[in-house]
Amino acid sequence: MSAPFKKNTSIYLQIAESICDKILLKEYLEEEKIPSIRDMAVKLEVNPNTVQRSYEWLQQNEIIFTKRGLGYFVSEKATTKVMEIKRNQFVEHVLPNVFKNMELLQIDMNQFEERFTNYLKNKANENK
Amino acid sequence: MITFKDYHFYYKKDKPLFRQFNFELDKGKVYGLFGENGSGKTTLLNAICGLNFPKKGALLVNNFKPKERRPQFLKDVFFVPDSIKLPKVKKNYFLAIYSVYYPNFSHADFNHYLKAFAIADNEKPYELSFGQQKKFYLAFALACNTSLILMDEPTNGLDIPSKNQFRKILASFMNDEKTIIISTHQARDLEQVIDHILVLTKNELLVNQSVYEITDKVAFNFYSSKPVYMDHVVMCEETIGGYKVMEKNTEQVQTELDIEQLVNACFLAPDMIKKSLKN
Repeated sequence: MSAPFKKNTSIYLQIAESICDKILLKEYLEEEKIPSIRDMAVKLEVNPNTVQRSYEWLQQNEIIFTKRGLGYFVSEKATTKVMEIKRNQFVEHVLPNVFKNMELLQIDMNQFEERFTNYLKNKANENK
Repeated sequence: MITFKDYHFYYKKDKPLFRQFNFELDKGKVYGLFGENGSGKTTLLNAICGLNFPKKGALLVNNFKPKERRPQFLKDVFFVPDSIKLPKVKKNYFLAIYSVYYPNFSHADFNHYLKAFAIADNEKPYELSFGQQKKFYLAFALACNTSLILMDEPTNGLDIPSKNQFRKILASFMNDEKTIIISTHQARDLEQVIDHILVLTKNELLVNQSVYEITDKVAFNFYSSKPVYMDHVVMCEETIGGYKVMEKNTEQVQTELDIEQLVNACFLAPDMIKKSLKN
């Protein structure tokens, strides 16, 4: 799968990504309803046809589903699905750029392990 | 639906403006009409609502010939011109005389739009500023709920909050039965609500494709250095911090459409555009 969520991606995918982020942040909960196409279009000031496309993409990727006459709902396994897509994207498309820069700037991989461990430690402290 | 068939138009016989137009516009879309000054955007809008007549060929709008100006046709079409000067009549009188021509006119919608546009409650709308008069007229136009609405530079004169409101209103107004055609130079203002692009250049309609079709074929990328392989490049513009490159889309994923760059490319490299957008 190529990168759906790159920086200059089309508007419909940007909208799909923002919905994925809201699912990860638990703003939209699994099996709960998300705004209708029209409400979302008005909120984001975009064409409803664009939101329709975003919702189709999310449906194809089993992140949301439709209940006839009731609207769109977050799938039971949405978080796992979103994580899968985003992880894939990170490994396939973000990491290569990081590696490129590491080589260019002669940064040693070992520096990162320590930094990452520290980051996790700090975060754990903050959350206490 | 709007159908142009072997349609020709000119103001002066030796200077044809539109030659051999053959295309259809479907309902349920927001069309963005772009083109240089003098390319005929306003002329085309005028033709669709019956303000000028084909010189040759046929033009059908909702199965009517606009030139016949039948009431059945006119009650379902609204044209918002670029500059507006409201007649010197009070608000209620304005509504009383003009709304009767539009059977789907809704007072509730009209008041809702006035509020959204934050228009001062004024009994004499003709005394308002240019921008306020424009918003008053846009509110009226949208409240008429015609299936076809033509707008010439609708965001001209609108303040920033009103542009936001205008996009929101268009998003809620749009449905499968409506057609909106917007002619504009302010691509950025309405980029996200337009879902079909029309570009007029030298006597022809160079682009008539949905945003989705266009971005399927070409990608709009930004690079920090000039691309080495220029084979796929339609247009490359140097800008702050790098290069804006319009190129053949070689991935399955679409990028965001840059209307300004597309329209620029239509003027600078029409043949490249034709080649890269070919179906």
